[in-house]
Amino acid sequence: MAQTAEAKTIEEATVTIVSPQGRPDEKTRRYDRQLRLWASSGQAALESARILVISGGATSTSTLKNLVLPGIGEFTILDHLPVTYADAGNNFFLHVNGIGKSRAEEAVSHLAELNDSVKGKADTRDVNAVLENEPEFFLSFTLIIAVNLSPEIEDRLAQALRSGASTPRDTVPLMIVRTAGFYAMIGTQIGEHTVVDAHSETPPSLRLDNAFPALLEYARAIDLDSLDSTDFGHVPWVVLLVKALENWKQKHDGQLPKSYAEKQELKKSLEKMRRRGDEENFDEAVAQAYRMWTPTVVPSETRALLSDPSVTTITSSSPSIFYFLLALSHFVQQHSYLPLVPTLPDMHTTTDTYVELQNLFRAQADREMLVFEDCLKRAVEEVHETWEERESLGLGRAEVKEFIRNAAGVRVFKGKKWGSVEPSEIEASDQKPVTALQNELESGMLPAPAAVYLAFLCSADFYSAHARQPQPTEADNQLLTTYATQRLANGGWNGELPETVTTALGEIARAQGSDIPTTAALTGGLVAQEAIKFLTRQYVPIEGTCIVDLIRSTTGTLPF
Amino acid sequence: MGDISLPAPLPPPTWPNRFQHVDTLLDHPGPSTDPDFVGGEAVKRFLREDSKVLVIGAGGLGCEILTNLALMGFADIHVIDMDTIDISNLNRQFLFRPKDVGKPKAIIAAEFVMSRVPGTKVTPYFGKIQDKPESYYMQFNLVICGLDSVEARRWMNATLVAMVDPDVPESLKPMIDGGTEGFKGQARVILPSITSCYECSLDMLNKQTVFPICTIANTPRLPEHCIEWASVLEWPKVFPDKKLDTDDPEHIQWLFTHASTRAREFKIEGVTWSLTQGVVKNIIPAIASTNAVIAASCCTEAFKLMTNCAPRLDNYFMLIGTEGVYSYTFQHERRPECPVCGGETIDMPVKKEWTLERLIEALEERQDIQAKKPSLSVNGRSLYLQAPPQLERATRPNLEKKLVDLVNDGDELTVTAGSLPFNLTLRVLLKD
Repeated sequence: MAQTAEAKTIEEATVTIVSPQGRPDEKTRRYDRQLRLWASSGQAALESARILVISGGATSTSTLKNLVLPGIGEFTILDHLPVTYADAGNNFFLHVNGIGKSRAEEAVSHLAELNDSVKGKADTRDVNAVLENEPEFFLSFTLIIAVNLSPEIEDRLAQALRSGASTPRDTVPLMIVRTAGFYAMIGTQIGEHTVVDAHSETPPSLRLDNAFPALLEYARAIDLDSLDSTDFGHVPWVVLLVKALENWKQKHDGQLPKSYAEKQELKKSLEKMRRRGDEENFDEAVAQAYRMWTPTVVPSETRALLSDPSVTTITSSSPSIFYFLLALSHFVQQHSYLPLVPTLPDMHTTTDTYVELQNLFRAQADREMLVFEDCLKRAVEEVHETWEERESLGLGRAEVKEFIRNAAGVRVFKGKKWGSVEPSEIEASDQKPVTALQNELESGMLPAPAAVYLAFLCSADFYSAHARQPQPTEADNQLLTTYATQRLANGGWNGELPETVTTALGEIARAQGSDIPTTAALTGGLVAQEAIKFLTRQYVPIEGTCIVDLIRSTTGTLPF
Repeated sequence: MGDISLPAPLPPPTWPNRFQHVDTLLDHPGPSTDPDFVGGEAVKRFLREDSKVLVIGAGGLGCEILTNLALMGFADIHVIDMDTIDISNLNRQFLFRPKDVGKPKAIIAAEFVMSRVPGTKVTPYFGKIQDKPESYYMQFNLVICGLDSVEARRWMNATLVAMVDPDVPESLKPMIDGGTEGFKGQARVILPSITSCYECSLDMLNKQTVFPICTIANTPRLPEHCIEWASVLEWPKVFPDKKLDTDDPEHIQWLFTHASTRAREFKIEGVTWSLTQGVVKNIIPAIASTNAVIAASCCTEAFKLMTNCAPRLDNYFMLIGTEGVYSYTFQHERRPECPVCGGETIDMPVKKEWTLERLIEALEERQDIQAKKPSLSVNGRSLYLQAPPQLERATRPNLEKKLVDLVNDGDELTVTAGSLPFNLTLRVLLKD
């Protein structure tokens, strides 16, 4: 559309010139509150996700609600059952008008209303039949959530996903969810999972224990004594710390202060540099003093990751993150730190000084990025790829910067299997909960998830044997107690059932496998949070099995 | 604004097995259930016919809370919200659709829940909690707050604590409070006068970043400083008669444009539309899943309190979903000097040489008090009044005076402020 400059209002003209990014479009406005968490990269990952939820019960729809709203690509509900009167009572996404109709279809139509950009599908086949006839069906999803299925089906599903994956890395993540009354359990089967941005709340190191040369030079050039009181009060704390530490090092053979007394002495020498005693920049410096004696190191978790075989033996088919990690391991062999992240915190000083200092950090970060790129080039050549192909390998400049910014928070999870174990492993599998239970009883603290976990296992034992949920009767309680005693004995437990276990068994029997709306909503919230973390590869997802205990209003995670 | 009369709901349509799931918890006690609990029809009737609860807020938490309460069988639900629906609510407030943008949240939420869960009665009030008298709050069995404002929570908390009459057990209204931020949140049960109250835990809130005016005016360093300059200093100068409306995109556009210009002048990078909006509206990230967890925790506790079918949360549940599923349940302790539920006076150590202005600054900085623009008096004599203008002018000279010339050691100061839902008494301790 042709438009002369005169035809524009002054405001429009200013905007076009001034703002590189204009007003957000409708989609950005709708998703504003979540984009502030996982940004457009996370959003893109959600939008390409295809999620399967098996069964259309209350916990399933509560979970899906929290995934449809933020805008996943598409979802499928697999459920062959019709809507019952009880379903219409506990499930917000089913209505009493739909009694007798397909539960999958009814739930999909009510869920799809929440977000026009999400595609919903109902699949009314029986999960058993699909496992039997078309196990490859499950491999086409990005994530599968299985809710309140029988343990046998859970196991077969987990098995189908494992055997269908060409490598552990490609295993479709599976979340297994069970609810009963005030209790819920969330388990996972994941292949290898990489967190690219953990959103750590620890700010990046400025490496002041060993200032980079340009910063040291800059600090040296400032002669505090020659400054008038205004300028003196505006020397940034970073510079004050570098100067104070340099003085210290000169008197101590270049060593950092080690003992508490030495650190206090250094802090005092910093205080002595004040003129009046109430300079704001010095207040800040004193508060940040610990940065002088905190040695810059490669975080131990990162170090462990760099020596992992998945990093040291990458192949040309490895995802780009592994190229980066291999490059990082080359980098830290030369240097004992991670590449500098040029994020300078705010500090009391003038605009010019702050910008100058910021530029120093940026220039240093750029230098280190080039060194890192050399390491990356080496990594690329080690797997017989050519450096010219870096863009197509996902190793462009923008990706390099992104990686360096998040490097300290990169995590690789090795993955975790779900489900049935070989007969020879039964004892070992019961040993883990027993160990967890012993730890709980010794600490006497909450949360105490092992007892509830055990109750879920026993409830499943009961279901396998009797094809129904346990009821709150003397006879069923007795049976549950027998299963618990057996499992504990397998795991090496001697003596009576602890009270925490009998309590949990009693609650499981009382619950009769019920799917309570509030428990469903809470569990659905937690499952969706974890699903979002798996899909976006941002934030740190659950490792192990989570137990929700709403009798005691706690959640706890078991490490297995 | 006002009570909106909706068509009277039809006689509760219900159906067999409607509460089959929830009934498992109400038919039988569990091993941890209070021995006084009697399962069966009486407790179900009480919940489904006689209970009356109030929900404050029909936003992110409110939508979830209303839905949960309806499905759990709460009969008579009231909801208060003064807001209208914005497009940025739709990523989590699932009772609203694009066609509802601009309409009152309380009314739309109530209508939706009643249509989806037949027989539930939800009475909306589109307005402020402060509009309602004590007698209004007295009619409920409990109050659930799903608010994003500290000030509204403080008001509700102080009101419910003040309502407690030790001789009238029903005057004690449990307050269940939820809050979220990103992947984190908390839910708590407050039994006014028995457990710690909202005011007791004020110092647990994150301190809000406040940029000093001199930084904004003279030495900006961050993009945020440029945005604050545009909104706090430039806007009132350019538009002395127009109040900044942070919901008006034209206003945000103006701030963004001017903040960008200033940033370029000072060689500062990073002013974006999103940051501008975030800073001036103090936007807190919010997602459906976290709201679901916290609202469900609140409603689980409401259900337990109403039916006694399981012990209540005592008294604080904190969720940190950024690293695995991590939560922490603990008992937050009462503060004996809590200005709302404690009896002890708050001590304020000050230096004799301080001016009154310095004392006011120190008061504003105290995280456990959070008084914005306080007015002070001692023994009925005004020391400094923020309003009306003529009294402000009359008391202004005191700001420069030294405390030692204004008060005696141990004097009790009365502090009032818009952010304080009560009069605060402070004992000044003069030190050298």
